[in-house]
Amino acid sequence: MSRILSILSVVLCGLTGCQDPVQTAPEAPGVASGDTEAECQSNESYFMSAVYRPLLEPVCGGCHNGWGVAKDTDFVLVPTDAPEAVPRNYQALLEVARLDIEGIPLVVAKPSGATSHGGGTVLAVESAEYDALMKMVSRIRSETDAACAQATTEDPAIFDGVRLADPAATLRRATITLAGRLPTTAELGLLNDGGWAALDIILGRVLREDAFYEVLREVFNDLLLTDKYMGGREALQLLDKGVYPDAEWMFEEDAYQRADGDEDLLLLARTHANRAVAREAIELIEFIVRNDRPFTEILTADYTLLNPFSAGVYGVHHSLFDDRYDPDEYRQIQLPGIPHAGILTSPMFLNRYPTTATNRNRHRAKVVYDYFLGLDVLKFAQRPIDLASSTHNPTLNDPQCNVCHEVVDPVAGAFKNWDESGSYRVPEAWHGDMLPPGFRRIAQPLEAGQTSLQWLASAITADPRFDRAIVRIIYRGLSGEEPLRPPSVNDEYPEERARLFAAQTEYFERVGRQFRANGHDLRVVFKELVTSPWLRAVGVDDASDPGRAAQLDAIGLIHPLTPEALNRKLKALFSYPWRPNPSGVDYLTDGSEYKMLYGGIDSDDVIKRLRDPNGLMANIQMRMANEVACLVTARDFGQPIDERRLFPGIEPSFVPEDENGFVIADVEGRIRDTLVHLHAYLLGEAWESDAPEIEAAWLLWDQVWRGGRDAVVAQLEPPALPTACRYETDYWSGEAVPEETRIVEDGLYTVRAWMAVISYLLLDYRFLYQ
Amino acid sequence: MDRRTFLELTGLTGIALATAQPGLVRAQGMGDYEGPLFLYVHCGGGWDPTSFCDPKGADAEDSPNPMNHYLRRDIRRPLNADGEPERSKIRWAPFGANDAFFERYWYRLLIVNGLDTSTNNHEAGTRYAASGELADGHPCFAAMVAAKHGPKLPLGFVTNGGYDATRGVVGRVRVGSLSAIQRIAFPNQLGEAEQFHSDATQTKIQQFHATRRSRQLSAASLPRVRKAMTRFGNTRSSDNELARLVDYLPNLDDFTTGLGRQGAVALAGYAAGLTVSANLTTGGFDTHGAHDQQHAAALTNLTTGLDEIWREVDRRDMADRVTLIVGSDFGRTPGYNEGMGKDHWPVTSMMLMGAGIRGNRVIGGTDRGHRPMPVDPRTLEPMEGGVNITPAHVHRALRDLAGIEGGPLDQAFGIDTDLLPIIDG
Repeated sequence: MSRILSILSVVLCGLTGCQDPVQTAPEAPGVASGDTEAECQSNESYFMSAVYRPLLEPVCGGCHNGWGVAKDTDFVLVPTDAPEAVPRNYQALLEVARLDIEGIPLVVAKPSGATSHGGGTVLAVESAEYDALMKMVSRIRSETDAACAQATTEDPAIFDGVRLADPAATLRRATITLAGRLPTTAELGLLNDGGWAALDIILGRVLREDAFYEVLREVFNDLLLTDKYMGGREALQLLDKGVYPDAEWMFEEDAYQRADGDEDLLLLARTHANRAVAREAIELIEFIVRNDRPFTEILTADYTLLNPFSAGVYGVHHSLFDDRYDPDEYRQIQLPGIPHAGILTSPMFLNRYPTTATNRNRHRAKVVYDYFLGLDVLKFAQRPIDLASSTHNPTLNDPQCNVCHEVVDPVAGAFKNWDESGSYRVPEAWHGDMLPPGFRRIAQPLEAGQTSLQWLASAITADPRFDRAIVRIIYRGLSGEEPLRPPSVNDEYPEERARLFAAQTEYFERVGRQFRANGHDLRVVFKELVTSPWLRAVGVDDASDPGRAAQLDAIGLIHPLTPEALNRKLKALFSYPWRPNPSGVDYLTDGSEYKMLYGGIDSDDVIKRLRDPNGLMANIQMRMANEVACLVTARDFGQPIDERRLFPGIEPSFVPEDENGFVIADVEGRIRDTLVHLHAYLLGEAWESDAPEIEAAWLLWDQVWRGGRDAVVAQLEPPALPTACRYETDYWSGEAVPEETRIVEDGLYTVRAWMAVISYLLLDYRFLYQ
Repeated sequence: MDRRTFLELTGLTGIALATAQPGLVRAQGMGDYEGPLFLYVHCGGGWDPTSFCDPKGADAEDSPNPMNHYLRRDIRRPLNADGEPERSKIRWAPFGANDAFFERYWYRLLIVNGLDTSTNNHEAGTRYAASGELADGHPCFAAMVAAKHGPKLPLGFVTNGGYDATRGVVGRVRVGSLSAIQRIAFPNQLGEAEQFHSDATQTKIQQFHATRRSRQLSAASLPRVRKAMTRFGNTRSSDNELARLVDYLPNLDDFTTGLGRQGAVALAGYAAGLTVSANLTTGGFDTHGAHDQQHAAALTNLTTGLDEIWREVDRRDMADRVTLIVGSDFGRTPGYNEGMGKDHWPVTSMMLMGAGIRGNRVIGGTDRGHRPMPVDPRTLEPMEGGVNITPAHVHRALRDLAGIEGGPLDQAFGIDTDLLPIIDG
């Protein structure tokens, strides 16, 4: 049926010249189907919809929190915007739900006034909330959970009337995003025959291309920020010279001797050693994915990844490598006496997230929770510090403090063997005034004392929250958007937002389960997200109702391409980089050029990308549109017809009317066909030659051509192209091209008219956004 | 000055000299905003007010566990030309380069001491100082001001870091390489004498682009897509406003501190009618070890930068057009740790000066243990049983000053505290 609908939609598009090849949910994959809420609803889902939101959050939460008047009772809730607030608050209810007083559940008796309650009577016996609470207690006590075998509460109704991108559009977006190229003809052919099944195969291949690993490195550096140390010797200087005395050997006075008099080797070491050390965490991630290792190994790896140059830094002999000159040869190496735990024991990670004598690794623990478990511990509570409090050792004994510290401190303790410089150094003892090292209320076994981070890594990766955290990271990397935050009663349309949040949360959980079920193959996550309706949505039948609009708020994919992604796209489409000159740096990826201005990061002071456009970015876009049009237009015309990307069916000599004003047959048609091709090639839009968008582009071309032609005749404009826009030399070699292929003169003004069209299309959001 | 003449004078990568146009104070008729430029300076890491504007000296050289290594009797105060004390409550620590700054600017300063941040966390404290809200979710003050007074200006809110969340109320701009800015300020300029497109063609491209955007917005149905396209469209202006910035940029080589350069760029943006507010940052205050040495350096960098900014303000004759706020994550412990450093302490200070700020005042204070002293909410005089001043109070007053108080932004991102007469008291 789905294939029939696919065919039907293509046929319809062919007849009507529609813009976005789409399918209508729920035919496309990714939307889980299942029973309705009435037939199958888990206890936790019922808790959220019937008990927490209507009653506990607005009524009980004001006192029953970590700092309220009920903070010392057995029923303490976390704030709604705390991570995993719903499951944690459900757990809090579980712990009191089995208690009765005079035959009435205690948790019902107190708020309804049946027994003494510090907060008075806040729940009417005849109310719906009272019934819901009683039902909740009954469900808990029945010890059965009506959870379905598969996720049912992704709320398919959210996607009612939502139009989704078809396989071809999905593939184009995927190859540009993940591999920096357009789909090949072969891939499109395969897709045409095999539909979604073929797309899965193609994506599997795309996710093994070198360009994909570049994207992977960016996604994870956006998280880890260890590229901060890429410059100069910054990474090398972080290392404790007492532990790694040879860390900077290549810059010492006897470096030449140490390199056995090999100048080439010395130069390579000076070029690559710092880079390899700075990137060791990122390289580990790439290595694991490239070699189909379970992604849990990013934390559990009992080795470090070294190339010949970083090996020298850590005192490892180059004889372990096949080619001591090759910076791309990486080996798994266990440094003597170091209990490696993947990223966690990388000196780069440990220095990027440092500790002090008083901080005691709490900062590192916070980062571990945030990055690898998806929990922002700073949101556990408001944590107002009361200077008047006289509690001894407040982080351990003061409820205002230990609400967070009881979670953070055990993980902080697991870092006890790693000092401020990121070196392995087992202390005589850990702090007796802190909770002992551990995780999730399980203390670390004694035998793990000297390998504490390895123990922690195993514990974290066994936790399903690790799976969801990774899914969120990839989602953020692909969409440019943060996962939804828990809704608040103060939100507009709280019910709709709650449904949306629940649906997205459960979607991430489902993908997380798939991730784990597939041996933590990270490609599964990429494939699932790329083909999900969350990111494939392109339109909806009706969003006029504000509540419905709120429900659709996180659906669809549209955000400005990062400077790196835009740079890759330019190279993919035009095969030329956007630079001041062939040997220069790329404008969009160099920190001294446009990278930072266009919203990029330097992993140091600037660590958050700008996701919203601004006037400066708009000017950069205009500059890019003009410069690239200048660079590529005449150059493309100078290529043989079968090698042209932009103008395969037209020549600069083609003008729609002669000098006497007579229409030249077929030229306008050829121009329109070229415009159709450019819209498809640059923007992924499929139009007929008489579609309104082609008509608009044709008018632009025609008006620029006529005005320019007349200006040349009147000698108001030169007949020749601007110097930089001519095709006279090979871009890379600088050598002159054959005379007959050069394009210098533009007396007909057609090249400049095409330049205007290229600029016009490059300014479009469909080019600049994904 | 036309574009070609400008290029001949400075070259594409040169720095425009504002002294070439000495009378150019502020662009006239460019935008409707006539209010001040708001600059928020964040001192990253948690500064130590007792080493700066809330001095606490030791009783004697051999005092055990001193809060600082200077003596109470050496605490500075403003003196007149005859060496007599001025009528002022301003005091500062004999530390770092404080003397040079306070002796020059004491009469302009409103210092708020004894601010209770209720936190020792960098992220929360930075957010609280910049927005007036401890919990996550509010835009920073500078973003709110820009959203109120210049939402469509291309450089309405310039950020150099710190807590610069906007929550979508306004775009934020990072201003990095100035040579790059000069190039992108003139996107159609190919060289000294050439353009990519003729003016007529460039105009047509933008016109057709605008009408295509309208068609696309009409056809878009997903709310997220419509919002993004609207924001995209808002960044497009038929007038290349960015080019005006180039005319107002000073020679940044004249500034010795990063803070000074950040301020100079923000002032240029304001003078060009493009900027309403800016976040500026300077760091080095998280001195858990070797406090005296490191904090002196950080404070010197701060005061030098502030001095450079105010000198530029005075050069532009804008002293009544710039409001500057200085804050930090929190304070530092009233004593040294084993490494002669100071750790986090939830009591801090803020400093305000410039337009709308009545100077030569100190509000709030701390006791000998650097704990906040409550004040009378009406008079702000010390009062037992009064209120502890918090960054929330300061930000409510700032919102009132900036004309945000009571408006839709204020309601959407309310600060749940009283409006104290901090600024106009």
